[in-house]
Amino acid sequence: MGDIGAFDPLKWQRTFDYLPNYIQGIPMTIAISGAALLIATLLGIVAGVMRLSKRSYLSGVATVYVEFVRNTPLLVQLFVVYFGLAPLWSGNRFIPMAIGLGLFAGAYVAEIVRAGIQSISKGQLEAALSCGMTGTQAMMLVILPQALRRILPALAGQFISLIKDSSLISVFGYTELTFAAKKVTAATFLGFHPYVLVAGFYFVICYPLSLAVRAFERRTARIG
Amino acid sequence: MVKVENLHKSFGSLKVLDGIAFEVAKGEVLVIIGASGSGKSTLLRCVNALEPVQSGEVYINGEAIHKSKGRDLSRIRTEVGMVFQHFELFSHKTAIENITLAPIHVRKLTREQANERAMALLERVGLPEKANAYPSELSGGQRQRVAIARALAMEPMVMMFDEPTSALDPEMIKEVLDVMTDLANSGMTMLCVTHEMGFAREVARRVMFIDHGRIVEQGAPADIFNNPQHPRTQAFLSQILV
Ligand SMILES: Nc1ncnc2c1ncn2[C@@H]1O[C@H](COP(=O)(O)OP(=O)(O)O)[C@@H](O)[C@H]1O
Ligand SMILES: [Mg+2]
Repeated sequence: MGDIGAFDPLKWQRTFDYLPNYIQGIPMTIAISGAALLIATLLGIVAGVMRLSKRSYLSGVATVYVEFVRNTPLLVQLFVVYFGLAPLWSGNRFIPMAIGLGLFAGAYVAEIVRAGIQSISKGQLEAALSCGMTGTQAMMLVILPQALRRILPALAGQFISLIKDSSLISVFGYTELTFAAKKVTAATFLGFHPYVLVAGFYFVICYPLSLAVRAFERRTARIG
Repeated sequence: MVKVENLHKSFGSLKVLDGIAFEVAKGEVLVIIGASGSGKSTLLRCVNALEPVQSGEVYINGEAIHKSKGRDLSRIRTEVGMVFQHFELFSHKTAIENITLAPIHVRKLTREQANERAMALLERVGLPEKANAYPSELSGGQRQRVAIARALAMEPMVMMFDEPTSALDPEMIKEVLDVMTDLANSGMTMLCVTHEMGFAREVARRVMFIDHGRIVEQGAPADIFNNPQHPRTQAFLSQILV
């Protein structure tokens, strides 16, 4: 590591001079990941329920969506959505990027939701129906709430993945965390140090989330 | 109250119900017995149309449930309470929420009305102090009593029980049977799949023995248990009456 000066205090000094850029990137990263998570959750629930529908056109549409997303690269999807949708919001890059990330994560959420619903025993549905609920009521009041609680850790894991994947949108020049590192590299010609620092920032954001998920799981163990 | 005519049901090539027909009068308690796999659960599930039938008819209070769909089907089902072997309480809801969920969303009661009724039902099954407990915090016997209260909350005309005590530890069986006996004494129409012979003798007006999806023999409990006519009934009873 001699060449890059991994332990060179001066190089670190120059990197840390740009700390405000990183700090500014954090809320951007969180905002875009949060917006994408919202889109992904709504889309994922709808698509996950659709995949289990007896109506083949509903399950068909959902399957095409999920398989398409899962079998193409995220970066390519982001380009497609960005260049496809950006003209709709002239000047606003946030919305198309959030949609791109949300569409991507939504497919994974859909699979999580589908597995969650399938993990709820058929007897729960029958109990709900035998109380006079319609199929929709049984899904909304009995099956989905239990399924969602069961998959919450997986959803939170998906959110953590989203935060990490959002680094890809730096290619569009959006001033989130990774873009800050890019900027520092451009200004200082340092490559290694800015990215180590940005990795640290991602870790500091994501690790507490992982811990929170685990704490939540312990707290809700009572409901079983 | 319940009328079943010429019911046929198969799963693929497996014939499970083979021409079942019977009626249950208002206030009557019918106990259904039969070996495991003889089609008892399937029969109950066909009665409230959780399972579609290939042919035959099922009437609940004169309404053809086997032909009903959508809202009509849901409405008829509210007249048929069902209690499952494995309780099937909603695990994300407390005991009282389990009981009020359908009254609020199906019967459109206010939360206050529903809560008041639910508390009365919890008193009736002897669990008022467990109103705010989650199912995971209840014993099997308590869960089943809450499940009975949940079914009663819709004020059904008929109650169906599918082996309600067979998943319970022996010391909890009585508390559930007591609730069922109490219910029968109050005049509830009941279809019970159970092998609790003491309960059947005491409470049933009629006992029906099913084998391979057919009714082999039926009659008053004393006749069926003490003097079974059909060899298959005799064989079955000799196995379970030790
Ligand atoms: N959903 C199903 N699909 C296929 N076979 C089933 C299904 N439900 C029940 N069966 C079969 O139907 C037969 C009768 O089952 P069931 O009505 O549960 O019997 P019982 O309640 O008397 O033990 C059994 O052989 C069982 O394996
Ligand atoms: Mg059974």
